[in-house]
Amino acid sequence: MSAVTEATVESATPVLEGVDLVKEFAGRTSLFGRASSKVRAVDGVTLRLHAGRTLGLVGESGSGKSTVGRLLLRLLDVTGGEVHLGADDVTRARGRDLNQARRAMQMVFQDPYSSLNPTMRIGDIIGEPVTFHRGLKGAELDAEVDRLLISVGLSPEHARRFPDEMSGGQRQRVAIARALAPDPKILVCDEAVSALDISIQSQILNLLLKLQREFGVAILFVSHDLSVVRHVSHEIAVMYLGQIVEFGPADRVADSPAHPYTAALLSAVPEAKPSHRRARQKVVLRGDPPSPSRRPAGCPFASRCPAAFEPCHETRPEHTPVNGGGTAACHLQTQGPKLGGRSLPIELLRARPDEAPSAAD
Amino acid sequence: MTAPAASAPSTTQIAQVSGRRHRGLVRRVLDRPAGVVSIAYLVLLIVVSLIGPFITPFDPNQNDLRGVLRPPGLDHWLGTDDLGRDVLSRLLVAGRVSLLATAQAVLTGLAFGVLPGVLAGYIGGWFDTIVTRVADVLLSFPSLFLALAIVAILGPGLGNAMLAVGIAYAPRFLRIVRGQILFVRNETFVEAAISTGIPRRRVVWAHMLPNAWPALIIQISFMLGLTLIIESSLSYLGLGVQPPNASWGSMIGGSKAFIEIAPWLVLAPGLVIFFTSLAFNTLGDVLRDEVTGGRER
Repeated sequence: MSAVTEATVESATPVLEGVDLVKEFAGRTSLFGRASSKVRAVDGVTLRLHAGRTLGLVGESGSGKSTVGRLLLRLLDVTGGEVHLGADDVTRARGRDLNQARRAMQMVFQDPYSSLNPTMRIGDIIGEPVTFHRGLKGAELDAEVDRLLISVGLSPEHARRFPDEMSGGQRQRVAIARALAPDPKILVCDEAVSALDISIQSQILNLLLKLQREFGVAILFVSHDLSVVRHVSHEIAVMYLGQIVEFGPADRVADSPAHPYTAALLSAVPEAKPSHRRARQKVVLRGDPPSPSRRPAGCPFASRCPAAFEPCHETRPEHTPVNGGGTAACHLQTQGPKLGGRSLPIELLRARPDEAPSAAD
Repeated sequence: MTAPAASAPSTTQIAQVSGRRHRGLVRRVLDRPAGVVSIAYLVLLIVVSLIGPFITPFDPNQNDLRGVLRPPGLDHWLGTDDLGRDVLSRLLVAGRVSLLATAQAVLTGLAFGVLPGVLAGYIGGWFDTIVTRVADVLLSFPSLFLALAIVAILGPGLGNAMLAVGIAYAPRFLRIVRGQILFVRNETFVEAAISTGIPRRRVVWAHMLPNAWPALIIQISFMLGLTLIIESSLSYLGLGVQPPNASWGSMIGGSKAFIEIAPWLVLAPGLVIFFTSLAFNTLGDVLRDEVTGGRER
């Protein structure tokens, strides 16, 4: 639990910080109620969110990225580590204190079809946190709900509707308006556009960027889609099997990845321009990620990494600085080819037929 | 397929009930002939029962020993009973007693059932286990039997009887509410409501419980029909309303000796009980169909 990722951003204190976060879930229980194994979904993640900045958190399904978002918002209790909201330690906050803390940190969920209460009108969904956190009532409340609706590109008459009378994009705008209602400092967007049509996705992304410019909120943008994350983020953190394997400025991470897993993720992004397509080489990963309940001793990615060598299977790599900003946790940086901060040459990742990884699970 | 005309909703049907469907429910129920007829009948009955004491053609408790057991006619539309009392007048006054008693029992059941059901579903764990076990024990007694036992302890009287019936009902409401709360507990909109930082109490009452209402309303409708029968049974046995006041059940009970020479004494309250119970059950059926979306044959 030492993979500390240093933010390279201005030294301003973060508005929200997760330090060494660990989350274990009880595994399947056996017939006689004994927990068979614990699943470590998040394994020593440190993240810092800064006002007006967007941190993209990418990773594949099961990498623990959504769990990190929920730990930061205290929707899940941490197994280890701390959550700091500004100067306050909210790791163990409960009841009223926690609700007070939540005023500053809000969430936009993936599926706008399930995140809005079907029995409530839009105006009540948005108005509820306004009433509770800011004490507005009556005409003042109505005016604030109207203002919030307009700020997300809806109109005041939507307040009388029910969720099932709106489209997916409109619903997600409602969800964003609800998240903005308490006037938060932090917004966690958990796959906030994944459930939407492509054309709607960009509308919602642009709305988020516009709101960030207007209100200066810090955004944690959790997604499996690196191209989307790159579009909206200032920094990107790449997660694999509960750990952050690479972190850095968005362009640096996306253009010259220093970790093999980031490179593999990037090569999976479809390229629109044929000229670019030829220039890029595909890195095809074999096998599935190891089970989070039986995690490897060394690098979590070692079993699938085309460039893995001896130390990868034995010791866990530390985060080391990368040229152009950020860090990567990869032995290639310090041993073997000793990249020493250089980005990863693609040749290293081409599968070598003579030592193609056996289909070991 | 011999489905009983009026059966309480099964657990699987209840599980399918979701808040999504229940908006506009009133209008959809009124769109169905069975819904309109049963609601119209019940509304009429309630109105008549409310104003009943003011529109009785005769004093319902006034004896007229010169005119006992008169058949229905122009003077006494539904005849007179063995003490010469006007049956129509008694029926009107008794309606209020029967309906109020029925409502009292169901409200008692809700009062004792909803909160524990919400807490059991929401808190879970050992609390849920204990509450559910207690409910199961209560549920294993037939309502009428439990009511009889409690009346035997507390003494006869409609209030006691209906309190007893209400307590016997509580587990049924508890189970429905608990099931619905469990059903929505892991819904994203509940997590979303929690994430906005509103108090837990508000999350439960404003976001979780409303999703239990459709299932609860269906159950209430069936229970009203059932309670009417139970109330009538208890009053028929003399354990409910005490003379000279009347409920529909006690009117039948008091007239059973004359059933051969004056059948109208039994028929009039009997038919009213029958139709009222039928109306509650039909309404329950229609509600269930509309809420679950499936129209079962």
